[in-house]
Amino acid sequence: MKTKILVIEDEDSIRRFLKISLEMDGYHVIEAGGVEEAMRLVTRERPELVILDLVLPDGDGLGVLKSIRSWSKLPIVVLTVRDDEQTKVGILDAGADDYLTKPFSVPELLARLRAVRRRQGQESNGPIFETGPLRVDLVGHVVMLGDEEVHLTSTEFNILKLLIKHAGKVVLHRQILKEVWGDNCVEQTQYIRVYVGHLRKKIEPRPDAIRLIVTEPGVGYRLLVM
Amino acid sequence: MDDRNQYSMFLKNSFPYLGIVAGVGMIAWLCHLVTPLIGYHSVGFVFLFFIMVAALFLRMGPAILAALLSAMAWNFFFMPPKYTFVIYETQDMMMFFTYFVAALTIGMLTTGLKKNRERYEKSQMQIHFFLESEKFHKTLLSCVSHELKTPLTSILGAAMTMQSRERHDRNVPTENKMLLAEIISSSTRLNHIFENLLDMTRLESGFIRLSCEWFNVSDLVQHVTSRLEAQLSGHLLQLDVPDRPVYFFGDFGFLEHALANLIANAACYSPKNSTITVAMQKNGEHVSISVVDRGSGIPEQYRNRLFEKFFRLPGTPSGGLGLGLSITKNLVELHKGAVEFRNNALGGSTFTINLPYVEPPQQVLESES
Repeated sequence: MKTKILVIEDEDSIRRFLKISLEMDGYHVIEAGGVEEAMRLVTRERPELVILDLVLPDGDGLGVLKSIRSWSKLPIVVLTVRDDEQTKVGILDAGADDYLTKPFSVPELLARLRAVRRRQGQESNGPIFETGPLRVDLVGHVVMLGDEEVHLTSTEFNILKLLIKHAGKVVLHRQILKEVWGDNCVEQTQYIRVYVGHLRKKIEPRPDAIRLIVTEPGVGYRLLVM
Repeated sequence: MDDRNQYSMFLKNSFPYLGIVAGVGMIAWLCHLVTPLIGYHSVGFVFLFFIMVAALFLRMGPAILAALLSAMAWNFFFMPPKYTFVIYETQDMMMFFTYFVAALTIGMLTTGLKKNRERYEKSQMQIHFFLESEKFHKTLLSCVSHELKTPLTSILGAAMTMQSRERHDRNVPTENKMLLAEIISSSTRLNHIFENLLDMTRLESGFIRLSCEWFNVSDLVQHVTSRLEAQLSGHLLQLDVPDRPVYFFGDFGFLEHALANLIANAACYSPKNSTITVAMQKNGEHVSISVVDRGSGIPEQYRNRLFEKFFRLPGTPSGGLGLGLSITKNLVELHKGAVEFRNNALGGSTFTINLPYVEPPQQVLESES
């Protein structure tokens, strides 16, 4: 059974190449050019995945996102022209699973869709998490990079644990703050990068090491799932 | 000609004062006619009114003159004994003194009020202009952004999709694959140019906000050099960063962009397989990041134009709008830093970003295990 994907995008030319590359990657593609058509097709066709452009001719993409989110956990990846922090945080806050800024790379889009589907399939995470050379025992608090054990401070471990919990997905600065430092530490945003920097140095020790932690500038961080 | 201008300027400046003298004289004469009706005490009120009107329409100098002159006129022409500056009655003395204080105060307050009103109107105009300008820039940014990026998305998207399909297809001629690679490469370059243009617009509009955080400057250097791996692939990269972290409080994204422009320039303007060195160090009050290339350097006559917007070195292959250095300079200056250029003795150029060093807070220093 091919995975059914709904593409909500008003630009014909973008829809055309999206349809071709998605079908090449094994998806069954349904298209919508606006809000009304999208809402109709979402309920009628029951897609398993949605690609949504923020700017639509007959309404606001963010509204569609919130509307779908209000009754479904369906994975949604948003496409947007705007790359400012506010827009990106707004997209994630409204319930999107991921976003890409235009112009985007097609391989990157396909990889993100795969990651989103994989996350959907994993309802519960076991105590052991692995990605690339990294192996983390979340219960035993043991972190292995290849054959060597890595010693993390408790803050570094907590940040890593949070990134693992949402592996592949962007974790907002705000979420890191709340999880690691608690609700009332707004000023700590200024220090997050320093801690992530130390964590990175430990799990990506060499300059040619795989980048496991990806920075989403101004928005947050995500842990790559290999 | 100059003398005539000076003379007319002098006349123009002394006009208000002459007007006050004439005004006081005229009011004195009018009051003289009606004094039998209103009494000499009330003349003071008429003068006070005159001072207020003068202060409303003229500057502080003429207003004070009006206060002084009217006091003298009232004393001389109206207070007994008339036509002297002497005052017999103690009550009259008090009244005169009070009048004098009131006159000066009214004069100064009224001109003050007028100045405030002018300042308020000026700032309202500035606010209005600012809001209109902000609206314009926001519209420009979002409109241009959307209209330029949408077709580019289609071009890149379609080309990349074609590339995936034809990658393993041996029936497709190699030339086609090369041409497709060209389309993708040029479109990517076009996108970088749009980004630079949009950044320039944002910087020009003045609506840039720094999102500052503490970070290790070595991280910044490593992050930028690994992000530009593709552009640096034809060169030998040498990194020289200290072992101990050097922390800076700034906008990581902006400084990343600033440094990336310098490194991209070095890659563009130095020969293949030459070395590019990126060095970072803390020396006393500054943190410096320098990018050294072994290109042909910058000719003397262009050195003071390097950081101009849209300036491109004549005779160099086209590669952009010439905004890179200007953007770098702007972004670094937003952090109260400066960008320096130096020609290397052994050939090539060195561009250095100097940022003011501030001792990081205890929490940052303690974050290391």
